[in-house]
Amino acid sequence: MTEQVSARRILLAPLDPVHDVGLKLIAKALDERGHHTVLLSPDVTAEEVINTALEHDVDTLLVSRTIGYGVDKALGRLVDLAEASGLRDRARLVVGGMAIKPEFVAELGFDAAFGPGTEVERAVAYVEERPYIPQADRAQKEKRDITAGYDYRFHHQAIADLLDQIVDMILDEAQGKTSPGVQRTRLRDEMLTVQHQQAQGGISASQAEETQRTLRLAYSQHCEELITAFYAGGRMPPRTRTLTGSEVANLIAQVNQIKGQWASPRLQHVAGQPLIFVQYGTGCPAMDVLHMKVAEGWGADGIIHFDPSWEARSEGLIEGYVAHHESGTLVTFENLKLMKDALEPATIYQVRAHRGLNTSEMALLAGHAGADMTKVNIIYGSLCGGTDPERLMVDGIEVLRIAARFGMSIDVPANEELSGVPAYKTFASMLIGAKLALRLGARPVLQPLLCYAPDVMIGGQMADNYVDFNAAKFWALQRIVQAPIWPGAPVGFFTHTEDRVQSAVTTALHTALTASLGAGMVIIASVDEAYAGGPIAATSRIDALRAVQEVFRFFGHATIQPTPQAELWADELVDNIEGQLRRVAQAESFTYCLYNDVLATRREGAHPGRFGQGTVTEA
Amino acid sequence: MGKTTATRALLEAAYRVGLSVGLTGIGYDGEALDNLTGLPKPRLPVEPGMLVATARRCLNAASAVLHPVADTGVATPMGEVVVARVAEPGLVVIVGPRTGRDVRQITHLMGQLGGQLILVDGALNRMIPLMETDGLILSTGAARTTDVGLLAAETGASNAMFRLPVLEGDGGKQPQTCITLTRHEGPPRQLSIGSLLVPSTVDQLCSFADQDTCQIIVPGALSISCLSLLWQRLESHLADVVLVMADPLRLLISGEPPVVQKSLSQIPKGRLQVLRQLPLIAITVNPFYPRYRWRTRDYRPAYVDAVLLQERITEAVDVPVIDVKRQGGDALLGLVSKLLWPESGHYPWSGC
Repeated sequence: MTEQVSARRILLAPLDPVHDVGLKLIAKALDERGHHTVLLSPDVTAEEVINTALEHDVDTLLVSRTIGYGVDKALGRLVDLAEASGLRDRARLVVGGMAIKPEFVAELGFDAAFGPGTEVERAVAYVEERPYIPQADRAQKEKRDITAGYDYRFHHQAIADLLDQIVDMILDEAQGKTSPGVQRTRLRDEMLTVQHQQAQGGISASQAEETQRTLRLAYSQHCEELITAFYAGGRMPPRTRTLTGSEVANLIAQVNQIKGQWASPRLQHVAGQPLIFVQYGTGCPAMDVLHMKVAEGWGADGIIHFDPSWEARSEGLIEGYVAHHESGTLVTFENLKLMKDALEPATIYQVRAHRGLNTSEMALLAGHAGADMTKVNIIYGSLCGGTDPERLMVDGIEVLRIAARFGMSIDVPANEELSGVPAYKTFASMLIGAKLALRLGARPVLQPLLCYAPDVMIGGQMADNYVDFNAAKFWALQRIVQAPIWPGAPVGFFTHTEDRVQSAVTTALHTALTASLGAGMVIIASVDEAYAGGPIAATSRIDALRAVQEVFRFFGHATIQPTPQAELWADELVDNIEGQLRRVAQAESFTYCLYNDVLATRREGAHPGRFGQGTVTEA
Repeated sequence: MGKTTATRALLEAAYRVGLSVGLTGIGYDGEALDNLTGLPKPRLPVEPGMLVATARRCLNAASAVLHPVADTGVATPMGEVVVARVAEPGLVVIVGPRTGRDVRQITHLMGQLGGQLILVDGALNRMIPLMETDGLILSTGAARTTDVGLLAAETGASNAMFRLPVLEGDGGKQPQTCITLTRHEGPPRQLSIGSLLVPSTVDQLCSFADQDTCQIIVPGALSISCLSLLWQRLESHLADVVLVMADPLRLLISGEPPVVQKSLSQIPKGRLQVLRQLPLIAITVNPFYPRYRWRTRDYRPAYVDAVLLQERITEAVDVPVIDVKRQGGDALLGLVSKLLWPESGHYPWSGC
């Protein structure tokens, strides 16, 4: 606060036998701002309060009341005495405290009332007769580049060398190859370029329409029947529908009323605590937008789009504002733009493209819609996501090029752990993806899962606690490369239950651990996400965000200390990662590793996908 | 206790006979549930032609259709008070002026707009602003205490304060801000304070009083303990001094009525006067009280013996006591009319 106001004279009086901490805090704040305060001790009578106020010729009387019984009588009499004595003509009467309800202000004749939880600064602003600017507003959130400050320097030279060899192998193998996904991506790029040109006035509407028609026709020829039917005759895929014009208009109007009206509060209590991301994908883009506005309002720093798995397995994407009657929201330019335009400027927006037959087009749409991040993991998508390895290799490289082109950072999720693949193998795969991204000019983010993975359930590494092995994972990666590490997705996966309190606590504690380890961001679950069975309730998101906010407050700069076992596991992980990469580098090809149990085995839960098999062709 | 019921009864009676009625209040009334108990409250119904002074934000909260006719400049936490005329009947929420000065301004304005009878609804545990009205209807009942005997004694004590004599002469007409000691000879002495709230102020006053002091005017607030202390000090030294308070409401809020009455009983008749009086028109009684149920931790409606309640209070006071639920608002309106229009003997109604 830098404004200068004239010094006020304020009497602060607790109308309770004991409670006065609120007034003490306010008095301190007022004193620091140069005002003249008189703070009465507790257990004073109304007469003493009024008399003291008159003696000191105050211009504001702040009284507090914590005890609920008799509050109406005590306060009503105080107001009457204030008027009878003439104080009312000279001073403003303000009441606050645990016993105060807003209705009392009008009923009892006070000029203002501050209920439980009122910020000290709000009371100070009132005394100074200026608008109250919440703390969050005074330090507006700014969008951060989550890869800033990382130079991607490899500390482990042997691993770095192996990764280079593997990346060379991948790029050689993919050289000169294309797929329907890549071809559709190029056509979609042209379509969006034409759309943009038309909007800018560069081409006429009729010219644009003609070009789009040609491009759509070419596009649909690379699609499967489900999607071709959309472009040919407007037939919507099952369990989807287009939002009506009025639905979209109403949503936009509603968002415009609230956008920019508040400053999203900070969840972080001290600098250095990670940014918090939440996931969305109810199926309905309108509900998604409103859910995400709620999440922003409760402090979320970033959001992640979830699409339905069937969309990832269909050649081609449809267009328009499309609602899906199941979980997962379709990736269309319109849906993504709707969300992007609704978000506050500081909110980071990610669209996933980590598996399936439309990965490159999804990344492209994300880029055109203004997303900040996308996601791809060629190995996970091939071995646990159902996509043919060769196909995803080709499409995944395209994703990385698109990410680089649009300046989107790209995370490489180590999701294979969820299927049972050991951590060291998933991390080896993740590092391959990261090195490939770097080679193609993108800025990768490592996304280890701090989870209670199947392999760990069997191996027992988390029998005692969830701290050590997760810390080991983090440290192992840090020992290998200086890169952003973003635990997800969500953190604490497989530790959540239907018990909402348990769910909130495990999310909060895992988040505290990531903060302790130095992560820059983390993805959290909603408290009903593990067993939602459908759209996630906005209130459940709020519960999770509040739990995280509280744990940040609890820990501040304090940290969680793993046991010495974590160091041993970290060393072991690094060694095993190196060994795994060595095996990959010595293989005849990258896709050989995917098809033949090198990167992960079928027994471990890795099954080379079949969607898109045989669709890679020479460019 | 039952003030909204009384207000409502009076509103209905006044409207029936064609009086032009204005309605405002010094609290927050008209909400569906009581702020404290959560029980449904009787709300205030208004009819076409009535004037209502309430906060601007409450206009749309009403089910009645209200058309603003005048701004007042009087601020409340819910916005400026505006005067509106009722276009279509319904219920209203009243958030009105909070100080006596504002009450005076708004009732005057409503009178200028044609209001013949302006009702100012009271507020929870507040009275001082009502001094700016022409007459008071005191509402009491079992919600204050279910001990009928105690309620009667308390009401009687309150009644007594409205019987205090008014100071004669010009002294009562001049605005007073400081405690003034009038002397038999010589100019009056004035203190720098206007209220007697703590013992040190009594010390200060007594240091100014001497054998020449005949009147002590206390225009501000006072506590009953200070009044008692002052009288003890003066009684032995100043045999004929008269204590003058601003008005009976300042005495009423100085402490619990029985305690106040006990202190006043120690002051000889005529030795305690007021600068202004407020006619006590009637006392309304309400046998209803919210009974707390421990098992369910909520309140339920309950009633004391209504007849007994009315009888006991009638015995304790010297003004009419009315149970508006049983007797309606006509009796109340008759009493109001006698006060406001004493010469005609009835209200200037616009009926045929």
